[in-house]
Amino acid sequence: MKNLIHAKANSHLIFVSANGGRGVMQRLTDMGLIPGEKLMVLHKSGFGPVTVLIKGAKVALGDGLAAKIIVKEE
Amino acid sequence: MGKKKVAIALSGNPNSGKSTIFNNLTGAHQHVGNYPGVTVEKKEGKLNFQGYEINVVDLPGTYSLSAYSDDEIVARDFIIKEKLDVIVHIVDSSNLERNLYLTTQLMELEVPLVLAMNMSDMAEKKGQDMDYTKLAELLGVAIVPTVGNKNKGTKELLETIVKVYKGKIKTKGVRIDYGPELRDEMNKLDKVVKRDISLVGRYPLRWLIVKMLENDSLVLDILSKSSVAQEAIAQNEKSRQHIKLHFGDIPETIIADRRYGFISGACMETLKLSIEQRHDLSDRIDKVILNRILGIPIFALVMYAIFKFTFTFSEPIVGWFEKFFEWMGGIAAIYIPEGLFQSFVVDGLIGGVGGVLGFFPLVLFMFFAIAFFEDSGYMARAAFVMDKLMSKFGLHGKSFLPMMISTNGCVVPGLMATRTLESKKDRLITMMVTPFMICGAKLPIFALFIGAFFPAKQGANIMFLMYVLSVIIAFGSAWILKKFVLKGETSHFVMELPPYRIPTIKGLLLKMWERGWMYLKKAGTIIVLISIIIWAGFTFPQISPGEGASEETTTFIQMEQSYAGRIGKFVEPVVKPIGMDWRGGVALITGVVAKEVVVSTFGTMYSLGEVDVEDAGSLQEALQKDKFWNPLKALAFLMFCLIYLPCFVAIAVFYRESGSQLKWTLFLIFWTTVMAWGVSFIVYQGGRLLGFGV
Repeated sequence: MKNLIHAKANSHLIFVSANGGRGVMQRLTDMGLIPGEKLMVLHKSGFGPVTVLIKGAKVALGDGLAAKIIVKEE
Repeated sequence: MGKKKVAIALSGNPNSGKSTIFNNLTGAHQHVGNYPGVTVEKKEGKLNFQGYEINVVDLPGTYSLSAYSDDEIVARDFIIKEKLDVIVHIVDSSNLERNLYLTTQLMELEVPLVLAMNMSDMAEKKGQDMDYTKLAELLGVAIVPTVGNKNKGTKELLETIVKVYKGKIKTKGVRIDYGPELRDEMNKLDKVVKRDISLVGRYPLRWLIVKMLENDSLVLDILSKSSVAQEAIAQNEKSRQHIKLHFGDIPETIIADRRYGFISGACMETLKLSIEQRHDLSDRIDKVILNRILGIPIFALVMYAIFKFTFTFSEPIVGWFEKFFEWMGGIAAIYIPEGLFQSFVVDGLIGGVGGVLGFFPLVLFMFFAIAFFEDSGYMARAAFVMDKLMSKFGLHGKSFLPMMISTNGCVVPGLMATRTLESKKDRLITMMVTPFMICGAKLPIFALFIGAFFPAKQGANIMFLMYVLSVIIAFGSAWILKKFVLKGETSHFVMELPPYRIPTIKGLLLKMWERGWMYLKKAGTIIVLISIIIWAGFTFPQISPGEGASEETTTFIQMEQSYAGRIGKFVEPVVKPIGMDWRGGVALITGVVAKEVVVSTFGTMYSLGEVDVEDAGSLQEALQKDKFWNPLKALAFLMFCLIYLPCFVAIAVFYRESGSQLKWTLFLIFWTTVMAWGVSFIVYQGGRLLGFGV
């Protein structure tokens, strides 16, 4: 279990949870990110924003949000 | 006999190619308006097909139908309230699972559903082999494959819509099985809710129940007003609690999980992937464009390209427009006898309209270039690249687009473009700082004064400095607003990055025209009227000078004694400390109507009464000859023009887009005016202290 900002590019992960308000959770759900969902880190810039592949679509997450997402290794 | 009318609506994710399909269906017969009460754009269009008159409404692009954004609320309310005959759901086939999530929610609204499997060519390229017949059966909908940007499948889509309307294709939406635990709780809720007959008539019952379990604030609101309010809310609390206990997770998550489960089940049965998904071209481009080091330089390069394109290609056309209006003025001066009426036509009407329309080509080219980068998929990346920097100043990554549209473009569509910001606070801050950008209408003021008072070599530098200043002022203001007025965290950045696409010319032209039309509408209506009022303000009351007075004195006395002159004299004490006299005061006041009017006001002031119309063109020279002006005064005046309150139309749009909040509108007016005066004061008085322009 770790934070998404600590993940490496090209790593395959599983989404565990996010500590955000309901609005944020809803957005993530809309993008297909539900607990247990696989995601792949496509691109990452330092301690910052990431782009991930969820259900075949590219999604960009700001650094503030990435810091709130908990993932584990596949 | 009248034609049979069919009402349909288009629904779909952002980036699903929905607007392309809408354009294919309706062509140029479009009408853009607003949904009542909210600032969500409503696009409508009409077409005739097989003897039916089909009315198409383009619903806002959404990922789901929750109650978290205005777009989603508008979309679902529209579907529930309007008795729609068919909903066409545009699905990005190359991104099937995520897109079908919205489908599962549309199915619950129990309206005949047609899926347009768009970008089916891209899906095939990705190696997807889809069994459409089987998928249609599993979902209980009709399916048509389409390729929007090649206009493929449009006719088939229309045929299917008509068939569904006539009942020749049955679309009985399948109900998703949420599993035994949820089913039990749903049955309990069903028994309670059913007892209020009025609810049953107005809403799809099962949708109400699912939304209750999802804790949807608006649906709970509906229920709290029903005759079974108490019991329903109590049962809902009990059911939600039960589900939480059983699954160890909130019902929202469980329901989403079941929907996605249903989708992946359907996909597994109908979709064959012949090629393993691999890194595509989009990924490789993104590696460069989103690069930590290269990202921002590339962004700057794109911005430069947009400006370069705009100025290079619009320059000759702007020239033609100017020549045309000059020619018109000349013709009018020849055929209309000298006097009041000639002055009205030449100075008031042609001068005023020409000043505004002259810049229309520039605005159009600008919008075309922006639309190109939007439709190609770059703008979503730019928002992402800029997010980190923008959020330091209390702005959002998406804030840059409205600012971009306003720079050399127009603040009015810029303010409209803030609609993409989900958080109300982010949006308000963006709207507050967007008017500081140098819009197409401020450009002529800068061009005039820089040209008149600064050597040609420095001109470009000073212009560039103005752009830099506008950005500094906008960002600084955002920072201050966030720090002291609109406190709180900037909302998080979540955004889909669509695959790169080659934009269609038709789509670009339509987008360009839509935004350009907003500019033209303002130019066509208000500014013509105001030009005439300004002309009248300077022409009346007519003063008859004493015998023997020279022409120059006559003109001067006429201006000073006119209504406009008197107003200028009245505000003179306020503008004096920033280096203006009454004429500057008048120009600034009329400039509130539209910034370009500042130039035409000076034009009127320096050309009125002059016999030779040909001379009126060289306003620059007239300013140079006037002993009153010097470079320092010009600079202070430019500072004021850069910062002070946006034009009348922009203020009206700000008021509407801010949710009709007078408080914020007044704040905007106060904030910009005080700052403009302050900066001009510092520039002028500081410059004098340093010994410039004394």
